[in-house]
Amino acid sequence: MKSMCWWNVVVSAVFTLLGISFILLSRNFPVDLGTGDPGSGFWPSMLGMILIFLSVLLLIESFFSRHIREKKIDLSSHEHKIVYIVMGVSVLFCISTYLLGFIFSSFMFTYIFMSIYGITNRKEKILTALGIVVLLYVVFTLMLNTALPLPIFLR
Amino acid sequence: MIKKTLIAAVVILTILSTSMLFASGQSDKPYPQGKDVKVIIPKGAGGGTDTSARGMLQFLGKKIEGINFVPVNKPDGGGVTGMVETANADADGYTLGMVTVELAMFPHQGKSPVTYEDFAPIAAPIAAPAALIVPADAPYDTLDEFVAYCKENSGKLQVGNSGMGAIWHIAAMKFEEEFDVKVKHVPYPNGTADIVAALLGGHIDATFADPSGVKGQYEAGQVKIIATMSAERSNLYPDVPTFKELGHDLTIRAWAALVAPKDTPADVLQILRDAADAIYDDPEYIQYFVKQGIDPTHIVGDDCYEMMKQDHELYEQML
Amino acid sequence: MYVIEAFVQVFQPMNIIGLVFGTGIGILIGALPGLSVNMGIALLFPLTFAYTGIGGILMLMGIYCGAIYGGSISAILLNTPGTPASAATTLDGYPLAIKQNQPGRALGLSTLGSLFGGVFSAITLMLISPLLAKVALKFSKPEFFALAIFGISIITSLSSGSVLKGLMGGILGLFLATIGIDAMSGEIRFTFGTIYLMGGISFIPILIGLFAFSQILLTIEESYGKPQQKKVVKIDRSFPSLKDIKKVLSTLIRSSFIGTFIGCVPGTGGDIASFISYDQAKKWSKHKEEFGNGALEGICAPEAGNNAVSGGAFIPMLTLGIPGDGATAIMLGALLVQGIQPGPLLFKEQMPTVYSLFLGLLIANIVMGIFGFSLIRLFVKVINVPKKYLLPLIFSLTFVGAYAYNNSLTDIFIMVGFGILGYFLNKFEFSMSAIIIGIILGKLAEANFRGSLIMSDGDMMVFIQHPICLTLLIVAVLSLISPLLSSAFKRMKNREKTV
Repeated sequence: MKSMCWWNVVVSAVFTLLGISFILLSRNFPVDLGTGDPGSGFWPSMLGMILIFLSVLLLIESFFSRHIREKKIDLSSHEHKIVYIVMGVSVLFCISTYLLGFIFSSFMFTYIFMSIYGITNRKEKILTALGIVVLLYVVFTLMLNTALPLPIFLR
Repeated sequence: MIKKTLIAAVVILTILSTSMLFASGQSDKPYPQGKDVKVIIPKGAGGGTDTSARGMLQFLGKKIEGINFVPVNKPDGGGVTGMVETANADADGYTLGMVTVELAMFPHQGKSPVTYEDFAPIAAPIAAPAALIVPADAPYDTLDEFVAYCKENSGKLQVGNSGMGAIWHIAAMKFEEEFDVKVKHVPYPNGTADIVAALLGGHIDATFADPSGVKGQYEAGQVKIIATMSAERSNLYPDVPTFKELGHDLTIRAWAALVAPKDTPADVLQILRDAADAIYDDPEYIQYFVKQGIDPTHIVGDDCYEMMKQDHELYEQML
Repeated sequence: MYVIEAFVQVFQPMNIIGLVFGTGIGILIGALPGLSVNMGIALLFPLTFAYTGIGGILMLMGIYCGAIYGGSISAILLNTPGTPASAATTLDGYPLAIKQNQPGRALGLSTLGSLFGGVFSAITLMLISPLLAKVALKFSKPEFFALAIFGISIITSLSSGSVLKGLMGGILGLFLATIGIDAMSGEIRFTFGTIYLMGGISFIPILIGLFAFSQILLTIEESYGKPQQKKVVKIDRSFPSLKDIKKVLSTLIRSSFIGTFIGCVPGTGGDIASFISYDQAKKWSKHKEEFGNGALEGICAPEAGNNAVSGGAFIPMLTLGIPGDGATAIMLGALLVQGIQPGPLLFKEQMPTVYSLFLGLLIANIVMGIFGFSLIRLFVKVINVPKKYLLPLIFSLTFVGAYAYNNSLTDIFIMVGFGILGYFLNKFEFSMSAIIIGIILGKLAEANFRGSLIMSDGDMMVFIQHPICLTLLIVAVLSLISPLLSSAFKRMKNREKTV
C-alpha cells in the first residue's frame, strides 16, 4: 500500500510530461501572423507551462505536508481487482459492440458482469440481461426513435 | 427451466436484432419498397444544414411512394466523418447523405479524403450567397462608398467571419482581392448568430455572411445589406443588388446538397431527382424555407454536380 | 389587454396537451445521460408543423425546461449528471441523497430550485428583457474572455480535495478543448492525423465517462461482496419544509439572477451558469464546510441557475432575433416556420404573441414543477433497486448515451477510456468538475483571448481598457486566490492555537 505522497510524485511526473508534450506539440505552429493573433501554438504551450509549474508545486506540497505523507491509498485489494476485471470487460464490450452490435453485446455484458459481481443464479442473470436489453430498446428505439449500434455486417 | 429461459432469451434477442433492420432482406419490388433510406447529415441536430435537410426530406417523402427517410446526424470531425461515410456506403440508394460547401474547401486544406467526384448529387435545397451586411448607422450605403471607406481606413475596418478559412472568411478575402483593399478579419467561430450580435453591439463594422441570418434585423432597420455575391437577386431581398450587377463577378455561396454514393444505379437516381424536381412546384415547400428566411434553390442533378465542381475549382485556386 | 389575448392564445386544450407532453418527454430526455436538450428539441421539431400558432413552440418550451430539470434527477440519485448543466448538482445532491439518506429532501430542493429559477427568469423576461438585451450586446471579445476566465477561476473553490490538483485537471480540460480545427487560424491541432478528432473531442462521452462510468466502478468497489441493506427512505413530504426554504431563499434569488444574465449573453449556457451559481452560493455561505457533503444551498444553487438560463436565453432571441444557445436556435426556427419573426419588430407589431410566449415559458416551468414534485416518490424508488440490477443497467445506459449523442462508435471507446481515467483520478483526489469546466470554457477562453488581440492589433491593454472586462478579471483573480488565502489563514489560526 503506497502513500498519497508516493502517488503524488507519480502524478507530478505524468503531468510534467503532459505539459512538456503540450509545448513540444505546439512548437511548429506559426507564432506571429501579423494580425495581432499570437498564433494557434500560444495557448496550448502556455497551458503546458502552467501545468509544469503546478506539478512542481504539487511535488513541493507533498513533501511538506504531513497530512499527505501519512495518507494511504490502496489500489490492490480484492475489490480493486474486481474493478480492474470490469474495466477489461468494458473494453471488450466496446469491441464487441463495434463488431456484433449493441443488442447482443449488452446482453452478454450484463450476464458476464453479474457473474463477476458474484451472482450465481443463472436464470436471474439471463432474465436481468434480457430485461435491460428490452427496456433500452423500448426507450431508445421505440419511444425516442434513436439508433442503437448495429453489427458490423449489417451497417 | 434454465434452458427454457435461455431459449426465450435467444428468441427475443433475435426478434429485436432483426426488427432493428426493419423489414430487411432483398425484395423484388422496385426502389424504394421495403427498406428505410438512411440519410447521413454531417452536421448537428438543429443547425441550418440539418433543418433544411429534414425539411427537404419531409417533402421528398410525399412524392415517392413507400419511401421512408431516416435522418442520422454525424457531426464528428467537422462533418468530414459523415461525408466519408456516405461516400463509402453501399451504392444501392438506401444510404444517402448531405454534403456541404466544406466538401469543396476541405480537400485543398488536407482535411478531407473525399471530393465532389465521390458523389452523385440529387439536389441542393439551399445555396446561401455571401452578403455584405453593415450596421444601419454605418456611414456608407453603397458598394462604392464602402470600398472608398475601406481604402481610407486601410486595414482598420473590422469584418466579422465565421472562422478563419471558413466560407465567409473566403468571401471577405475575395472581396479584398477584387477591390485591392485591406480589412481586418475578426473570427466568430460559433457562426452567424454571434456575428450578428457583434454587428448590433457595434463591435465590428461589417460582415460577409448569409443574409437569412439577419432577416429580422433588416426588416427592423437595424442593419443594411449592401450587396450579395449571388448570380441573381434574392427573392427575399429584391431591393439588394448583386456584386455582378455592379460590375464585379463574385459568386460565393454556402450550399448543402442531398447526394448518393458515386455508383448508385441510374434508375434510382432518376426517381430521386424527379421527386426533387417535383417538390419545387409545391408552394408549401417554398413556404417552409421562405418562412425561415431562406431562399430555396432549384438546383437538381447535373446542375448540382456542376455547381459542386465549379466551387471545388474555385477554392482549389484560392486555398 | 395583450395579456388577455395571450391567455386566450395559450389556454387552448391542444396547446396545454402539447406543453404537458413536451415537459414529460423533456424530463425523460434530461434524465438519460447522453440525450441532450438540443437533440430532444430537434427530434420533436417536426411535430410542431402539426400546430398552427404557438402550440408547437409551447411543446418545445416544455422539452427545454423539462430537460434542464431532468438532468438533476440522475445527478442526485446516481451521481451521474443527465445533462452537462447538472454536473454541479452532483457535488451536494448525491451526498445528501445517498450518504445522508435523504433523497426526497434533495430532490425536493432541486425541484424547488429549478422551479424558482425558471419562474424568476420568465418574469424577468416579461419585465426587463429589452434592457437586459442591450447590456448583453455590450459583450465583445474581451468581455467574453474575462467571463471565461472567471468561470475557470471557480475551480479552486469547487475542488474539495486538493486545490492544486483541481487546477491541474482544469488545465487538462482546457487542453482537450484545443483539439481539432482551430477556428481562429484554420489550422488542425493535435488530431494525430485522425478525421475523428478534427471537429474537436466530443464533450458528452467524456462527461458520461468521467461522471457516470467512473462512478459505477467506484460503486462496484464499495458494494462488492457486501449484502445490500434495504434503505428505509421515509418521505413525509415532497415539498421542502419551510425551514429549508428559508435557508436557501437568498441563494435561490442570487442564482436565478446569475442564471438569467448568463442565459442572455449569447454563446453561454446552463453548464456555465450552474457552476458559477454553485461557486457563488459557497462563497456567500456562512458554513462553507457543509459544501461537498450535502449542503442544501449546493443543490438549489446550480438548479436555480441552470433553469434560469431558459428565460435568459429567450431575451436576445425574442428582442434581437439572436439565439442565446443551441436550443433557442432551434426554437427560433420553429417560430419562423409559424410566421413569427423574432426581433425588434415583434415587440412593435405582435405584442399578443410576445405575451403568449412569455406566458408559455412561465407555464412550462410551472408544469415542470408540478411534474417534479408529484414524481419525487417514484424517482426515489431507484435507490432501493438492488445494485446487481442497477449497475448493469447504468453500464448499458452509459454506452447507449455515449453513442446516441453523435451516432459514433468511437465515442464509446472515448467514454470508457475517460471512465477508467476518471476512476484513478478520483482515487488521487482530482475533481471531475474541474476537468469539465476546463472543457466547457476552453474554446470560449482561447478564441476570445486571441480574437481580442486581433481586434486590438496585438495590444494587451485591451483587457484593461474595457471596464466590464477589467471588473470581471479582477473578480476572477479574487475568486482564484480566495480559497487559498482562507485556507492559509485557517492554518495560521490553528497553529496559534496549538502553540
